[in-house]
Amino acid sequence: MRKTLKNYFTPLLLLGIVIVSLFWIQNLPVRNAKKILTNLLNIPSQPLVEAYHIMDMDIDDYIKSPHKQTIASLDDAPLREAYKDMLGNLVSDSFVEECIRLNEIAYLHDLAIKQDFTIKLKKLDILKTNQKDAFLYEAQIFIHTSTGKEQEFQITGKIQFNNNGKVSSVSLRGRELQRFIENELNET
Amino acid sequence: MIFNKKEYIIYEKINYTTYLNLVLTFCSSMIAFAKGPNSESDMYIVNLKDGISPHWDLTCPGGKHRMKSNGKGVVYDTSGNRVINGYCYQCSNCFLVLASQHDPRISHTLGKYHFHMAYEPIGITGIIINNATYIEEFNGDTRTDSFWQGFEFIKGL
Repeated sequence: MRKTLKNYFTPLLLLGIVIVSLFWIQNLPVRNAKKILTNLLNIPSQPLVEAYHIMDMDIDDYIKSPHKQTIASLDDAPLREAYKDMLGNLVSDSFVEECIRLNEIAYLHDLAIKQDFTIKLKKLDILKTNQKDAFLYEAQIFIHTSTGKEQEFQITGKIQFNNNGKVSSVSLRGRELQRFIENELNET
Repeated sequence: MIFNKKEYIIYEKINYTTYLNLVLTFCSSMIAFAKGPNSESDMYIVNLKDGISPHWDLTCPGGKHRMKSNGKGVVYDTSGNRVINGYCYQCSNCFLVLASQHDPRISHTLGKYHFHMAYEPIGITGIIINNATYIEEFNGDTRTDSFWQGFEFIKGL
């Protein structure tokens, strides 16, 4: 009897490992989506605050320089480094470029740094879609402005993965949040 | 080349059209130069009548300007003051650059803004414009204003 159990132990253990691995691999995109969205929706992100600060100092240096020209492009290195710190290798280069060009989420980070407000992610649900490489998300965020205003908002969006399993785009929708930000901008 | 009579007429017509096009292009460029370029922005100001503010006459070979988001737009005036710390858009057809206080794609308004003709694609992170001689302001809705309807603001890439 003891010998029989010993004989079955190794194959059963291997089968268990295979089942757990399959489950883990199947849920990997959902976990990555959660990780990316958590890093993107806690605003402003510290690496981005530092990168924009470096960029600001570079602009000041350029303006003080006697050899300045009428028009100059900003260096993308600090921002690329910041997004790498923030999102690691889970996102595609095109997504980083989209963020540097200021997509909706990057716009919120930039605005939060300029207007001195913070957004904390309270709740995040990832929903599966018909597409294998795309998920929808619903999030609850909490905004705190420099003037002391606090409000909760529901936002939704879509997170899309490319063929290499990296995030290629993240959309954001939130009419109430947009209205709130517009009002804040009008007040300042 | 040997042509039959019909072919020769068509050939002559094409030659005539090409010649006419060249003459017209030359004339229109001369008229445009006669107005005098603004050295800061290389665009043309048309003073309509006394009492009417200057109007930027912008044309794009692609028709509507396809303004792609291009990161940050920072503008300094001639006194060295930062007058705009906002957003940058560039037309993918004619490379016209718009730096504005608000993001027109998200807020549908501009606040303070400045145009610059860059003639080539600028970097994805944004732009610094120095010695801006004018700053305009628009606080209406870009979706309904007749001038801004000539601009389509889209996400870069």
